[in-house]
Amino acid sequence: MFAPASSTSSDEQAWITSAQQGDRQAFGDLVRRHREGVVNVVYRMCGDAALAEDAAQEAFLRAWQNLGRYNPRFAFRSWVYRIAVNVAVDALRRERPTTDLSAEPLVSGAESPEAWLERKQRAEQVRQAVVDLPPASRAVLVLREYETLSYHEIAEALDIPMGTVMSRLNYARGQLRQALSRHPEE
Amino acid sequence: MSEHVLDWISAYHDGELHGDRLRWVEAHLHTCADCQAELAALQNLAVRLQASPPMPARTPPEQFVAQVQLRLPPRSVPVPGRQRVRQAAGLWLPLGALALWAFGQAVLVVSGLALGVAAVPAAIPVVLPPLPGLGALPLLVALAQPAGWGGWLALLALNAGLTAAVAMLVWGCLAGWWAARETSLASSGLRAG
Repeated sequence: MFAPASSTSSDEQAWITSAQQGDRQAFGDLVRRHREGVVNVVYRMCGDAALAEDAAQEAFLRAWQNLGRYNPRFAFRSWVYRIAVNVAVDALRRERPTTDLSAEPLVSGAESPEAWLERKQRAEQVRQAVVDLPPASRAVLVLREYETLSYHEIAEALDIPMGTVMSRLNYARGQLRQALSRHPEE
Repeated sequence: MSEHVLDWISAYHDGELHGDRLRWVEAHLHTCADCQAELAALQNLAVRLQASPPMPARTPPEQFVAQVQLRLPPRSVPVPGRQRVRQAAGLWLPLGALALWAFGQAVLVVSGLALGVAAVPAAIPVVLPPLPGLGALPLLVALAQPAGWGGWLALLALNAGLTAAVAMLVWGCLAGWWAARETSLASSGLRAG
């Protein structure tokens, strides 16, 4: 019924094995490969660019400390995203996110200031609507919409049944549609 | 609109359906305007979400990796089964040998004492008092008596040999432990310089 999960590649598996033996260089290769995804998961979860990079580094530190518990039956990406989601939730508990104007570059030469402002406002509405979701539903939505994980990978990453993935995703999308309907696109 | 099919529209939109379920939903979508509208709404939502820009990298990738590597604390390396057995043997073997050696020393001291006492009657008549707790002494004396002073010297030689063997074993184990530690430090990158 559902598509199978993608697995960890062989070179990645070699890095994991070396990193489990304490090889920092191999762990650096893993960080290089998953940096962008982990930073984005954290950013989408907490909606704060200032928090995101620090929290992403924290996620990698936790991954290093728990690498001995990693089960190679699951995709490494799913495993590290689970840590990223937990770190983001912890970071949100510690400090309230702020609206981060530096998350996006200022007006580019290709668009007028009005168009830039409008685009910026739409992006902010989406960001706020996502951040307002309950963390459990937000995690499923972020992993699906922004990281394009399959349902199976999301179930692995969050350690929840596939049915729960579907119901949380349906709920999150319903909430988002409701929230964004107050700001329809022209 | 069929509520039952509606539950699967999201999974259909995400490309997660296969086989009969996929064909069932597709067939339904051809005939149901409400489900078509639901699908269009999901597609529209996905477009709006994707329009929200990703976070621009503040730290260059290589700098990010370096920062993470600098923050990595030393981690205890999980020990594989065979290595664990070897490590346990490296600890318990010398300890066992030391315990054996200590026991041997005790036996030799007691038996040497007994031999010395047993050899005395030839020169000076001595009567051993019946001391409590020395029940094994007559046996040791009886065992050693035929050898006399020759047996005593043989026991000394045996003692020296045993001590040398135990010393070699303990030092060998210590050298093995040190070599394993050096190899482990070198492979984990914890060794300075």
